[in-house]
Amino acid sequence: MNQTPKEKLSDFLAEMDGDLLDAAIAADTPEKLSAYEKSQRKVTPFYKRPILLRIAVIAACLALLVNVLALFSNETENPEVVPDRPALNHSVPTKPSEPFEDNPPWEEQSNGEFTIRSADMINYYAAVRLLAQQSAMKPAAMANGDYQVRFLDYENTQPPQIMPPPPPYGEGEDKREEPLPPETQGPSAEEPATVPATRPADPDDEIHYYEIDPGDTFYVSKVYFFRIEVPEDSYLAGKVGAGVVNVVISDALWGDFMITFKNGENYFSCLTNGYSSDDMDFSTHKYIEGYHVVKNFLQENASFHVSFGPEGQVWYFDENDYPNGTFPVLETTYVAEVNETFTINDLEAYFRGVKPVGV
Amino acid sequence: MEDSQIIASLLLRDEAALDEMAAKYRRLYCNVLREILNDPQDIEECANDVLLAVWNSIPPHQPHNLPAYICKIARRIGIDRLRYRTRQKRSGYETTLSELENCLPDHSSLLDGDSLHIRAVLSHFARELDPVTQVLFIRRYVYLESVESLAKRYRFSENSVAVRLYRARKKLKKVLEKEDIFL
Repeated sequence: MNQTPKEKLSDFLAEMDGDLLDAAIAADTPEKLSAYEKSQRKVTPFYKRPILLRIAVIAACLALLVNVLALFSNETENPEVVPDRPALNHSVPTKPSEPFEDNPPWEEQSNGEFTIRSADMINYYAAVRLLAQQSAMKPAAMANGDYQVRFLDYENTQPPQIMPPPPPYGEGEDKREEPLPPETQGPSAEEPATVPATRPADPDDEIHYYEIDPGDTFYVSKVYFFRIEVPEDSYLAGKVGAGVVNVVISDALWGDFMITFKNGENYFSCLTNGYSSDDMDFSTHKYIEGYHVVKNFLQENASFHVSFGPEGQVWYFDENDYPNGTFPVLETTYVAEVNETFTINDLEAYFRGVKPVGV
Repeated sequence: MEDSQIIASLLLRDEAALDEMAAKYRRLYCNVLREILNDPQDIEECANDVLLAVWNSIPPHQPHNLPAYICKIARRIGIDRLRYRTRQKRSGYETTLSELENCLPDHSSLLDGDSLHIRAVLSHFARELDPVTQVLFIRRYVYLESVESLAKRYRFSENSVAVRLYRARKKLKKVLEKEDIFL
């Protein structure tokens, strides 16, 4: 019988190596899948071994120091142009962004100079572009009753009573770890598996890098944008600086939700640990470094928790190790649910003010 | 009864092994058949054919992984039955075929490629996927498990599963184009 090409492909797939097919059938639960994933972990390339990683970090810090000194010693002609930064996102926090103004983020365009340099920026600007495009369609779409962007006025959708602050360190049921210096062996094993803030040091564990191909075509289907006020004594302030910070949550990378914080030119992103219709958890064990997703259980974890109201508005934002309550969530939450594919070129063209081909 | 004991009994031509195998794995291979066929009678008949096919193939085969072996047989029998039928509602198998169509190079024809080479290329492609996507891809396109079922099984969102599969199919298309494989 004559087969169509797709039927042939289907049959050939069924004839792949037996160990692959066997493994897929055997991994029939989340736990077995996780065990299979662990058994298949990639060998980290030679240049990413921990000793060399330390050398790379030292070299990156030196390069950053040179750039910072250059910034302070010279007035740049075009303050919009951001100097080259090392791949690590642990830059010295700069002056926080201007106080929140009543304008959505897609009006903050760069007037010609714009380059995507990391997966943080992909996640962030993909969301902003999607919201901007949907917003532009809003009047006509609203007339048809099927607009995609929900502009949720926070003042009109008040959350229930603010959750009580977490118990002080060392008391109560929630044990919280003191922030650990980078050289520590890692967390203890006493926390439940769903909150992997602590586990015993495992000398076989490695830092895993998962590369994101910047030449790839990306796919996004749901984005949130909101703003928070980051207190100075928080973990997050150490990453992006204190003050008003823009926050994006989207599924543009890896199909899983990722949160990106942006304060001026500082970005920090981490991946979700789990989510429901009411909330999302993000772990700093899984973060972005340049064009890599890094899984690193040896570093401290200050996970973030976002709680949503029934319309998808952000009600609460917590940094789980922060003792002084939730971070204020400001003004409107923007939400869009639209399936879209895009490339980095599309994003750069859009924010440079050039209309992408085909749009 | 352990799988090794079932296989040993089949090798000794002990028919009780078939009952043990059916009791243990009927749900599994019927799920595969259900993804392919819509008619309950077809599913029931094919389920019996699966048992017969396993009986006839062990020996000489001695599978390392019995459930995977059974699923492969179920898949083949189900697809053969589907092709035999002239009219079918859109089944899970047809859904996966339509998804795989996007993997084919743009200028695919009905020319035959080197089968061994194609199998090697596809196996290499699957090994290059991250483990989670690899398992999802194989369970979807070989064992025809639905996206909804995969999402429930592994506690992922359906969107997350769909996106992983979409990206894997895109990579597969690039691999087939690069290897000049025309199916």
